[in-house]
Amino acid sequence: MKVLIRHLLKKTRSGGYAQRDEDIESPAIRFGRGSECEVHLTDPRILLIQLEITERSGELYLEGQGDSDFQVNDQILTKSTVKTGDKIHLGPYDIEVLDNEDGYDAVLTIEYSRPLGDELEAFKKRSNTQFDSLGLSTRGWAWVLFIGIITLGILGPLTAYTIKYKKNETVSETKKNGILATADKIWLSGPHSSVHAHFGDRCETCHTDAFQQVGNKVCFDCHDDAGHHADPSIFPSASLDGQQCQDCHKEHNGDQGLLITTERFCSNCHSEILDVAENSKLKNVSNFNEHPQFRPTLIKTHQPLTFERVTIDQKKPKPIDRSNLKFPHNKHLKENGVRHPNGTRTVLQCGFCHEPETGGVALLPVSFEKHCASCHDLKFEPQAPNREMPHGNISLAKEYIIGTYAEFALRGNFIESNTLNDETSTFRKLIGDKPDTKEKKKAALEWAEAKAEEIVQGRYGRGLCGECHQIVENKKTGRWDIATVHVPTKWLPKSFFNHKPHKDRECTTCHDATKSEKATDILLPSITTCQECHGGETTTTKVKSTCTECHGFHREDLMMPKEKI
Amino acid sequence: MSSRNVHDSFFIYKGLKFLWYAVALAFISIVLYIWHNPLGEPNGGSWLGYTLGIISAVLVLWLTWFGVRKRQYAVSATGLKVWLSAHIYLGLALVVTATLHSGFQIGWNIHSIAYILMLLTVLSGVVGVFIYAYYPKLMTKNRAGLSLDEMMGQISELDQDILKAGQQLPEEINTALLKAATETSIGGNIIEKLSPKNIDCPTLNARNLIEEKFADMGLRDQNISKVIALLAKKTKLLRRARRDIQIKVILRVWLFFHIPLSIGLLAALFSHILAVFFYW
Repeated sequence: MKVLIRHLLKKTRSGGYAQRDEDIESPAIRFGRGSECEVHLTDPRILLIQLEITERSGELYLEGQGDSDFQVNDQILTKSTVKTGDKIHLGPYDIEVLDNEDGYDAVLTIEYSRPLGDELEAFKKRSNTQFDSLGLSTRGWAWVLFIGIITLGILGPLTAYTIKYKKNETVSETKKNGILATADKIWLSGPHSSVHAHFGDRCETCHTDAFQQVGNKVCFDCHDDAGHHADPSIFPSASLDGQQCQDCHKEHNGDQGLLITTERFCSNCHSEILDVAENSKLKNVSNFNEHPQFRPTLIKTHQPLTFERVTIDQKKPKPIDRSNLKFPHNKHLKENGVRHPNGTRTVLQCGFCHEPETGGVALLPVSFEKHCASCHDLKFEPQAPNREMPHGNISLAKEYIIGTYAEFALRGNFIESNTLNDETSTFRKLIGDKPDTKEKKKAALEWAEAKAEEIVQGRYGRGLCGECHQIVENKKTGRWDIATVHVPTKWLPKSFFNHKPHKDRECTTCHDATKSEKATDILLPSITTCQECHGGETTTTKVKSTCTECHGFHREDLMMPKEKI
Repeated sequence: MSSRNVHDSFFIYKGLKFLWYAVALAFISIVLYIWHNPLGEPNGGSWLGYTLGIISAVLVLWLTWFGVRKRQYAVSATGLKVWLSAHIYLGLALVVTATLHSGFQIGWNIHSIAYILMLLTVLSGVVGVFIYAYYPKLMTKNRAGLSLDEMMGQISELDQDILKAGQQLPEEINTALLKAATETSIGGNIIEKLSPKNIDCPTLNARNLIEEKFADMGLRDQNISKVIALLAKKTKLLRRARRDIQIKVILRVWLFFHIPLSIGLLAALFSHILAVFFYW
């Protein structure tokens, strides 16, 4: 048989093949690696003799040699006849049967379709063995992060600062809305103190100038009552001149840093106060456990009004309250009560007279009308049982007495009581004629004045007032007067005390009133009473109480000059 | 010098010196922090806060400079080893100084972003140190003298043999083998590279199929036992190749976090410093 073998060599650019034709004339055409084969195939995967083609009854007959097989139209076979158009896979080679041409028994193309090494290439192609980044390269992600954070941390806030900050704007006028206007929020270094939280993200309220620390002026815009701690002319070391508010008041630490409450802050100076302030009259203190005894500020003299500080447990002379009142607490707080004018007995509690103010911090002043008058009436004339002297002004009281008797006289309702034995009444009420003549009227008025004078000087005048008040002789008028009352509102004016948290204790726990016989007693408790429950900053068994629990730092009476702010 | 010493050298090569520097820096910072008792809460604004902040910022800049230094090939490799040693130990000390600088205050702000980025950068670096300490050894052991290319060549050759040996086997096997030869791959996306065990591998599937359904035929059909043997060889090679890629990726992947995080940290650090002094 004569066969035209067309070797398809290489695909050309146009899609066709470069080819080499080979005429073979042989009874059997063998395909194989061996040199004896008519068609010599070089691929090592091909056997020495892999396939033999012969002609049988005008058809091409294929037979695999040895163990080898081939595929015809993807069917794995060892023997087969083929016809025009059949495609034969022989290992890495593809053979196609073409239409016969003149002079040939068969025309076959043969192509080395799967050369050795292609599998490896394909395998490599399928496999991604290199380190590949997630979407971007390392450098790419670095840029993304860098630019993202610069945008978030610098560009955004700077834009916010630029668009919203206007000098001279008030807080309420500053722009509050919009993402850009609040982009500087990311600069917030920590939460506001709760008292400044209402400024929200309007940083410019305090941070008025870029790259400048928040100045005192900003603070004084609101807090204009923050004064010196001590008089700088006497204690220059305590002067706050040249200090910045924010040296001590640290914002953006929540409620922790704004007000310093540590003992250390105070005890730095006050533990050895004379070392820093040689003129100081203060006692040393380093914590509440070592707090000096209370030294209430007491009136020393009334004319002129002077004060002194006396330690409360001083024995000689004992500190006394010069209020000019007389009041025995012990008599009023007797367990079996006090006698009421109506004959009953009333057991009094402290709260009967000492009422807390609305906020509960302090106690309201005792009022005669409210707290005393129900027992201590100011009646002066049994014949006029409804008449009471007014309280609070001795001149008015005296005038009231004269007026009372003058009225009796003018109505003709009097008679001298000289003849009477009734001690409760100084005159007898008679139905008589009204004084109708000048002389009678004059006599009546003289009687009234004399009567009034008698009352004022007597048991129901001077006597009655003197039960509670100090009576003083007025040298100018030669008459008696009531000494001005000085009831102190604060024993310890440099501290504050809140009664409310202590309301569940008995008053007598701290105030030894049941044993107090005189109004001159100072019923302030001793520091040791406080120390029973309160300890210093480091206490673990008592109520932690640092200096600022009771004391303030800035004194409103020592304002800093505005020009120094 | 054994290979072990080469990989461990950055720990000990003058490393103890930097370890002691780092420990001393951390120790002094902690002692000062405990001793220092600022008014109010501890924060970056006290004198110690500023001091620790400056130290931390300088450390960050110097640590980041390592990225530049390691590209300066002209400078001796020994010098780089010292740098790496210092980079590792002082990087760890930075965690202490920066944490104390923060006064343990954390919030939703640029300052904490910088802090968190610093922690993440150091964390990724620590991961990197452990990876560099152990994985090169594992890689050498896994490779057993073969390069990845050689493994792939062998796998490809095995494919030819398997296909050839499998030609006479039932169609089901043949299809599986063809699939194994034409669709098996190594590597893949980053997840597949990092956890090759979870890959749906056609070669493994083919092996399982034959071992489960056709193993008894192997007694009669030599081709089947041959295919099974070849597949076993191929899967072993595949496992090693994939492990090789996995290790290579692991050796790189931490840097993929470490570097962008450190650059992000630089940006956050600049923002932090600007913010602090802009709104002083």
